[in-house]
Amino acid sequence: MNHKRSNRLLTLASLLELMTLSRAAHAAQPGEPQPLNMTAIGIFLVFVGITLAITWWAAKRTRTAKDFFSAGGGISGLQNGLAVAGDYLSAATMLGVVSLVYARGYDGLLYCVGFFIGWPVMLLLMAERVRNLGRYTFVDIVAYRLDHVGVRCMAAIGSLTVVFFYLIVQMVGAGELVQLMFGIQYNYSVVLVGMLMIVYVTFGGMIATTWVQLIKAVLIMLGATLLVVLALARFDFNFDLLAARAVQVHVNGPAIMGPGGLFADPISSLSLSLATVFGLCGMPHILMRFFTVPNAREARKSVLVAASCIGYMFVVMFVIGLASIVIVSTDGEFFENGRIGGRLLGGGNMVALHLAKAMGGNLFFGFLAAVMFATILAVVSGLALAGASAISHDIYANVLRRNMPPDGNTEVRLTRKVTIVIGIVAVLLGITFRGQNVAFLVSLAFNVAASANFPPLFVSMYWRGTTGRGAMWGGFAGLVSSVGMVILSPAVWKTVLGHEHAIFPYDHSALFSMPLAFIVIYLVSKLDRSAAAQRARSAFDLQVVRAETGLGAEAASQH
Amino acid sequence: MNSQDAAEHVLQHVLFKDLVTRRARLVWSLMAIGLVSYFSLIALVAYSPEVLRMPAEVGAATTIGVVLAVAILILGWIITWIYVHRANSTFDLLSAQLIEEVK
Repeated sequence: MNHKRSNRLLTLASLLELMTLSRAAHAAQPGEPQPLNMTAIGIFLVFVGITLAITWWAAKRTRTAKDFFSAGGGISGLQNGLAVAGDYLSAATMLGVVSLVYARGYDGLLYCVGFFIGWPVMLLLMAERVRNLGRYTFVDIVAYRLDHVGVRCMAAIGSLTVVFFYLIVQMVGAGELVQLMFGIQYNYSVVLVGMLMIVYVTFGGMIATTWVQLIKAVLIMLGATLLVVLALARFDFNFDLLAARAVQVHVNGPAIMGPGGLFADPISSLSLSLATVFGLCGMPHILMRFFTVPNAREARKSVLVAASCIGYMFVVMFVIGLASIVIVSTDGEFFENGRIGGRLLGGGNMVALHLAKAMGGNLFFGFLAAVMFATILAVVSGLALAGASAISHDIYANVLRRNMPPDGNTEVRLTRKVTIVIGIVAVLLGITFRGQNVAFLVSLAFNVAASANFPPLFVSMYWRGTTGRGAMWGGFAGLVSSVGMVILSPAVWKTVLGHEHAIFPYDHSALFSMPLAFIVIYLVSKLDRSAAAQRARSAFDLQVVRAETGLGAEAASQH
Repeated sequence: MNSQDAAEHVLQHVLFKDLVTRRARLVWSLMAIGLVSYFSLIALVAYSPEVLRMPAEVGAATTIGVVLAVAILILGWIITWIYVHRANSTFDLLSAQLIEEVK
């Protein structure tokens, strides 16, 4: 039993490793130089050219703080939905899911369902209210009636924690991936990503970020659709034929079409599910996207569009994964020294790209590689903007200078400077964490978002009794407990730190840390008898009016 | 009338209570449908995975598990669509009428 258990935990850890490209990290050590891929570089340069032109155009349209932080609220639901999908579907997700299906079959599909089901929840619980109550950051909503400096600090810290964990993963992934696909050196590619991100965000603000994400979402869907059509053509567009061939070829045989053990432990998979579903509802860079649309109606439409794209992509990725089993795993061209069943060239995360090469040669490989690079740029830009606004809007303008609020232009100038600093820090972190196993940071980001960001945000919108103190202490409890538990978990304590036994048995903390946050919020709020608490409670009714009807909500600015 | 007063009026309005109850009813029923079906699948995976390994039809390589997982993806999308549709056709009208009446 013990043996079985540790096996399962190891597989969960390796799953995360797949999800974050860190396999690529090990594969990209010196001794395996990749030739410069001119097709990929050419296509990527076209993308960079177009996005820089858009940034230049966006910069001219970015005049006020509202333009900078929320694109003036003038993005349509369709555009924003595509941008949201672009923000959510990172390179790690695309390559990781395909590799997971390639390695383990059905478990990869289950993983996708978990990452998808958060979207209906986002729509039902969050999207409209977030749009109606918010301004530039989700912290604005938490602090809407909870007039408390501590709440803003707590929420901004939770926001920054998620942003930085995610940013490290993306930067390391960018370095490894670009080195593998383009043959550009790790450090150069990290610097390149950092610089482009700084240019997009400081000059073009939210408008440029939106367009970068939108274009990338369209490209990734085009690429994946083309790949899946080409692959399915080999099976007469018959899914069952593909599945049957995959079962024949895969070492695990028919087992790949059923649950394979990643989700065998109910507590572990419940905790993972809570982290993915409610973590999504606490992701600062995703929530921030809802302020870019003019009203709640467009916010709803954003989710419908995003959910359609994301759901479609997950199904497509599953089919691509199965097709790779048949096509890639049987072709010596994609293995080191041509040994079928040995190590895949470039590591486990390269499966989707190998399939592209098998289907459309170097041109398609180059196209997909360029789209992956674009994807990383789009995600880091969203993260950088979310991080920079947490520092300048939430901490500086609303906490440090709360008695003498700076005007919008000062805020924007500061955000630009902070973005440059975040960009430099991200590059340094990317270089520092080179070759490290950063897989656990994805899990950390989702668990922190579900435990520290989501509970205060949710109760501030739904529970009259919430007070500033309650939200603050609950948020901190969720933050400290989720970070603590994930550090003591097998994925970090054993796999990263090399201890013999993990102190906390599960890789995901949300099942424990999220309820803890809610309990602390409840108890502290109940015990809070301060005048501020009284004001917060009595302000609830009017907050509900604005949340439900949009009366008094931020309108789109006119140009 | 400033927005504070307007909000006070909205709060007292019978239409507002109607809007809030109807929206809440739809939101929580759809939430229940979505989460119960997703967590049922997770429970099946944990407690009786053999059901999910059965072929979807005789001789097929596709399993019940694949069909159910894709069905839940589609269900999630349908939930999203239903809410958007209902909100566009009913809730938006109600709240527009409400704001009009308290002006």
